[in-house]
Amino acid sequence: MIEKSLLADLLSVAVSTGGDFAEVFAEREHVTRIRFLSDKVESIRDQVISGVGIRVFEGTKTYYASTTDTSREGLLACAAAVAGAVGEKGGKRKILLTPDTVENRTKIGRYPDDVPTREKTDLLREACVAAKTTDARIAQVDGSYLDTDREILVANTEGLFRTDRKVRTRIAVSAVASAAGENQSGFYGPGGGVGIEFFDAVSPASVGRRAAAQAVTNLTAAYCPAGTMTVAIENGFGGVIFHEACGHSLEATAVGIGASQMAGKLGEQIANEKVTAIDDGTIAGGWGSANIDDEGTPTTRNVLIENGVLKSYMIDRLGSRRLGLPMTGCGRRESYAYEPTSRMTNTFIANGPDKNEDIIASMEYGLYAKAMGGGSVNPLTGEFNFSVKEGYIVRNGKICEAVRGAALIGTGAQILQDIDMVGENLATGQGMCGSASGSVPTDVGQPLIRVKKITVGGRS
Amino acid sequence: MNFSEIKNVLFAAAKAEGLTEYDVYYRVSTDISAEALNGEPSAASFGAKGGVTFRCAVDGKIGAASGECLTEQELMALVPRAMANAALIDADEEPIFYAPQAGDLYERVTAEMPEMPEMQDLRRAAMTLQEKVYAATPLAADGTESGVGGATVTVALANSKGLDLTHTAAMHYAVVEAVVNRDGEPSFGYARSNNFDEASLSEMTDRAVGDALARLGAGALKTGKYHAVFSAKQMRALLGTYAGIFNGKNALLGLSLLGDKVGTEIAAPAVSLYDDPFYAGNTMQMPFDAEGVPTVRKALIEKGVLKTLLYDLTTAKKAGRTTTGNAARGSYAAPVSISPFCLAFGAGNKTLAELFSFVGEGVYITELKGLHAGCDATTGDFSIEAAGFLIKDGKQAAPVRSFTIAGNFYEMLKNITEIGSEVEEGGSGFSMTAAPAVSVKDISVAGEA
Repeated sequence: MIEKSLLADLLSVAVSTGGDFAEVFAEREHVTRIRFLSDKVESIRDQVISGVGIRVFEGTKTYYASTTDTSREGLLACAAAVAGAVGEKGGKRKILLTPDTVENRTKIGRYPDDVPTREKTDLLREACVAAKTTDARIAQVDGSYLDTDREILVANTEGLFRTDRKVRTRIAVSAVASAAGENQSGFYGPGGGVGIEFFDAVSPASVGRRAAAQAVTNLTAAYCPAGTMTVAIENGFGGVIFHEACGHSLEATAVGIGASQMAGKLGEQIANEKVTAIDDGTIAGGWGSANIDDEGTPTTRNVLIENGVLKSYMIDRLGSRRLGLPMTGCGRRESYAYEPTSRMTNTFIANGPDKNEDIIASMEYGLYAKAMGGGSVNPLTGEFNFSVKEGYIVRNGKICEAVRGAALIGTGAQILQDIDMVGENLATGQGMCGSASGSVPTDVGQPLIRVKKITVGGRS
Repeated sequence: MNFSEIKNVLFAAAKAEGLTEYDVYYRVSTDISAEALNGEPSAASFGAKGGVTFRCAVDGKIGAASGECLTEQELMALVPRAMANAALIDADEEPIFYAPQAGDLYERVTAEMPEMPEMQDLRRAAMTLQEKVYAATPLAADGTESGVGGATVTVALANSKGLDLTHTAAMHYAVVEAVVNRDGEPSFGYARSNNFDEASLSEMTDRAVGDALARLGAGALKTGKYHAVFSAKQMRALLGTYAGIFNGKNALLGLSLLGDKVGTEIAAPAVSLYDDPFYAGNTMQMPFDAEGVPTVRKALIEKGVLKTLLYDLTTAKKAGRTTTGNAARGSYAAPVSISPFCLAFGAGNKTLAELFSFVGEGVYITELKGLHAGCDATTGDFSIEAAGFLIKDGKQAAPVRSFTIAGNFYEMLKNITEIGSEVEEGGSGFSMTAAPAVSVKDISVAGEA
């Protein structure tokens, strides 16, 4: 994307005014997004994202500039802008870049650009038609298809010079069921860090049917009762509970500035001993995987909590300086327009000792949260929330009637202690996580778990 | 390359392909900001981003392609990509490219455009915020962040019908998140302003620190039905989240329940709601929409009655209406959609203290979290994490947190019992909201038993 000699020049200019470290990040990403609405291909978004971001450190102070002008002059002006913010003209430093390669863990079967767009619109059509024909009450289906092919280059004043290529594919269906003047919705959106071969394993029609079934279930569901109760949270996207309740609070972005409830707790028992949680950016074909992060550091399998004991944080380059701990390969950003920061990759609670049927059987009265929506957290206080998209009341150990409109809230520190049963059917779900460095793909996951007590928001 | 050069390259390439209907949409932004953390300067940044989208009609279908690298070679490649994409579209919407009309008025912008600020001024302001927070309370703690910046956005649109429009808008902003800690209990307050002069920085600090301290010692709220007062900020947040119910396309698709409600009462009689592209408090006013149609202020709700939904050219034609000038693009590359510019909720006549006194016993909601997940725009249902204060004997009382509120936005519009007189505005860029505090009956709370 940028020649080595120009990269060295840019880094040299960037650190010429007192900075102790500089980094150039360049990317080019081709994104195809197709929307299918009212039984028709509605729009195709065909976009090439391209630009460069240059960052300088002076201790733990950061300076950043980004540009879409990737001409030599444009890039030198960008480097000069960031250097000018650091200080006055200083000494020149010779930068020696040493290209190396990092193991490629994911072999892509079919790259998006090698597949005709018509094949992609047909895949999406199949999903949406399946949703529409699942039930006569399905009134509207809004489907989307996404693939991206992203090439990045990272070079820095430590001599690092690495490139990586990351492909992602996803299909999502949102179905609306309508009856008696009322609408209810259902959603399913699986994806992977793979090419179009993703659909060899995931049938588009099954995606559509799952979204439609959820919408129809909600149409016949009563409002969820409000109160404090025992909740069983299903696998897959259910893992969003760990992502919100604890994951964000373990990011160096929060820990490194003292704004996390988890700061200073390494080695402490912070969770029930049945809880082991891992952030693993190395999983082949994972939605949140990469060979290197957006700072050029190889991704790792990072055990965050082992048998309830806090073992590690998620640490980017700046976080490493702030905390005096090694980087964990999780410095991520939406694009060149964002300065990277510590982010989750594929984050999940590992399988535990309990049988799934025992978890449901153990509940006299409570909520079984089968499918989850998104949520949010304040890492400072640990207060988090997330929404239940498909839920059922459990009575005397049996899953009973469907309820809708539930939200679960609590604080991370408390919920980790209250996860008192962990099942054995680990699976992951795909999401987009929004934070300081933009929106990045993250996998969440867990087996079925039981939380002995949590506040359930609903309408009594 | 500037917009005029980009347009020339793309128009020439389009003509060479034999295209007769096409347009070029261009949006680029530059920004500058300085941040400080825990009493020290922490970051400085300059950004430039954006790009261009070429759209064309081929056999009655619209195709598009977008890019950020504005070299001649990359621009020329957009034209065949857009043509190939058009062949795959099967939406039955006739392509409409807006032909300029005699009398089109694009000159209504009243906002003064602030200059791009200097980095040294931003740094000083970011540090002033830090100093003010730490001076305001001995409880100020690590995690206190401040940021000050400026941005300019240029939007341009030209088409084969002779349309050729450019508008540049700019803004300044300052934000502070004050963190306090009392005996191990953290709390925070957040404030934002469109200015970073000394008076604004002081006012923001008072607000952020005041909120952080007021929240300390928050207790639980009992499960039940409450008469609630939503703060102006949270009323704005709900309006922004549910803006899509006024989208004419959503109505046609059955995704809004307001499709057949124009002319009927959908809200309490005191409720008025406007979409105003020239809202006085907005420095980023917009004289034309994403299709090039002049923008206008319009009433969505007046005295509780729904007056109109929002339309772009294509949806208006399908619905048998005229466009309201609300075509929008979420980014330079996003397809044309429909969106308000500034949803402004009309003021009532009660001060906040009078709202509390009117409610008597209830809850004052000052924080809502996870709206993107807990609000269903299709059904109107919401179930969201909240925090705030008890209202007791007609006055603001103890802080409460860790509860949820649940209801339905359509029902909430009807259940508004009183409207505050002090309107607050906020949001960033071209999309903002303005609202006063309102009181609403029958809000379900889940908290402690």
